[in-house]
Amino acid sequence: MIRYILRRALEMLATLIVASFLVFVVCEFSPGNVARKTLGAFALQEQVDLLYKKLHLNDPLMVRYVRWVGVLTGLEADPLQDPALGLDFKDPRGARYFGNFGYSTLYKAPVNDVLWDRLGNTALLAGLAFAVIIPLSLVLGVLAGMRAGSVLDRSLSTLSIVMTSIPEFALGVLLVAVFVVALGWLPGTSPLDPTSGWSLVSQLVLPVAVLAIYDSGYVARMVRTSMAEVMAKPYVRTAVLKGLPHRQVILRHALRNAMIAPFTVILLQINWLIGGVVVTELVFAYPGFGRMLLEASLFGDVSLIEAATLIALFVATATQLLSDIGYRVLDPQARR
Amino acid sequence: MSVATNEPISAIESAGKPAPNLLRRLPTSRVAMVGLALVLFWVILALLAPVLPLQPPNAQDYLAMAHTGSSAKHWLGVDPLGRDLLSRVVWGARTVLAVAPVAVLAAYTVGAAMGLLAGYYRGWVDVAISRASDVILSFPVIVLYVIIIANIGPSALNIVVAVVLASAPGISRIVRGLVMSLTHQEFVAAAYLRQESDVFVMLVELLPNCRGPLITDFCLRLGYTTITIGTLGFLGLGLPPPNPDWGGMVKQATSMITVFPHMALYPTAALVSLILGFNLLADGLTELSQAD
Repeated sequence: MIRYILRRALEMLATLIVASFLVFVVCEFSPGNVARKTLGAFALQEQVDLLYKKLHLNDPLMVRYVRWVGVLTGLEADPLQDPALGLDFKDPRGARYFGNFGYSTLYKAPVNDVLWDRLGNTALLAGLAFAVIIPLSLVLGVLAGMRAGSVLDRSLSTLSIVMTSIPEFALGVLLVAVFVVALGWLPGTSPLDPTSGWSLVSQLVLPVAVLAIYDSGYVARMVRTSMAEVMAKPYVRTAVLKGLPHRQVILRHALRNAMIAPFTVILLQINWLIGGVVVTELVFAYPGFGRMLLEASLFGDVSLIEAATLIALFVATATQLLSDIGYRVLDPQARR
Repeated sequence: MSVATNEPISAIESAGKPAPNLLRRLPTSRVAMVGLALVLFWVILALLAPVLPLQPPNAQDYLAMAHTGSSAKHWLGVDPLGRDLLSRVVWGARTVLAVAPVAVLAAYTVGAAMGLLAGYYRGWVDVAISRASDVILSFPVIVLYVIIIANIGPSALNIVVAVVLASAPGISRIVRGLVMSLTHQEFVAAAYLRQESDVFVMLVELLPNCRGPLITDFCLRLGYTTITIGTLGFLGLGLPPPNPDWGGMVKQATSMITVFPHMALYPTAALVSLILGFNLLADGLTELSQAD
């Protein structure tokens, strides 16, 4: 087991390195862009050329990637913070430390000053959504899968298809139209600002609802399939024929085995949630990680994009690792 | 053992069960027929758009901007720039229904080729293709789309490129699994005995026998891609204006949603009904293939 975990952790590290290189290639393939984006649209061409030369942007891509990793791991000083450049990029942590993501040209601050608050806000949003998704999808899925083909199953399954057919932004618009425009119960934006006249809780209701509804439909379908499969197994039929009460058959015999497959899927939903978070945060002007990534991409803030995608990748691959390990723990057959 | 959530799971579940008459038995599934009706509704509207008596989709009616709600001239009202909403919703269907199938078909061409090669040759070919797929699949999908489109610029072609890059690894995984389960079958052995070439075995013997699960997956992916196109439009990464594009129309109208909710609601309803159509169709197909 420990060897398995180690091997998977190494694989994860390799994936992270390759993926971060891909992101680096996409963002910095044309080196002229990096200098231009750093200085902004109003810089003179001579200034851009000067920065281009000072940052050694004409080096091969691979060399520049190694340099970027050097800055990130604290082995090298961030070249942009060199006072000789006169860019006035100052980081209170110094120019050389582990986890140096560089300087955000969009927010005019070190990436580490921008990133973590927003990541915290997003973790709050995603955590609350998760707290709704798990019970909701389990109840929907188990009820539907208990008697496959029944009227209850058909109505719940159709409901979950409808839930997954509404993109997050469309769901946001629909919920805003009902609860903000028509009823006036909730605020239409969630800047997490207590002075806006709405309580923080009321600001969180709609974003959490959007994330929860979209993902629950998907997970509920998975739980339903798994439950329906287990209910058709011989040992469940034996339990029923033995005369056990229906309740006990479901809770004691079926549920435990039906939960193995959805467990993996629920953990992997975090990957989906990160995507959903980008859209939801934009709809509700939520000060989170997803909206920051979108704004950085549209602005061309290379350091911030690279930092944000690396963190998104880390979260996604780490949860995948967790779900694989959990699957092995739960299902003795997978251990072989 | 890693399960990819980005994959439409029902396709993997029904993998390995060839269902040759799937499309012929379609009328027996009520869910599939409802889905098909929704999809056909938009396909027919999109095809008829040039001959329908609609206002030009990009023409601005400044007089109508005083009263943006529905009127005799503008049945669904006008958008924030005074353009006829009905016409833009109908013409927007053309955009989605042109880009989504092309993108999914392109992704299928690349993904099926990758899956066939990996499943057929195995060994280092398989390792290389599978590892590359794993890297792409480890990205959160929207993040992948955002960084690609933001860097190469928004256009119909670039959306297709992004969809291919994001979806091909998933398709490759399904095809690879199907091919691996098929290579031991007698008809493949027969093809070897006839000394058919590798390409012949892959394209004529293996690929057609994967089609049952792939038809379902194709439908699901059409739904996902429609969501993607809408979402990209909403994020401002869709088709450049002034072309009508449902996601972009919603984006434009959200700032006015408290005053004129209809501007956002009509394109939203159109988008949701089309996605629902694809998803119901896929669900009906899954049900039919599992009934075998």
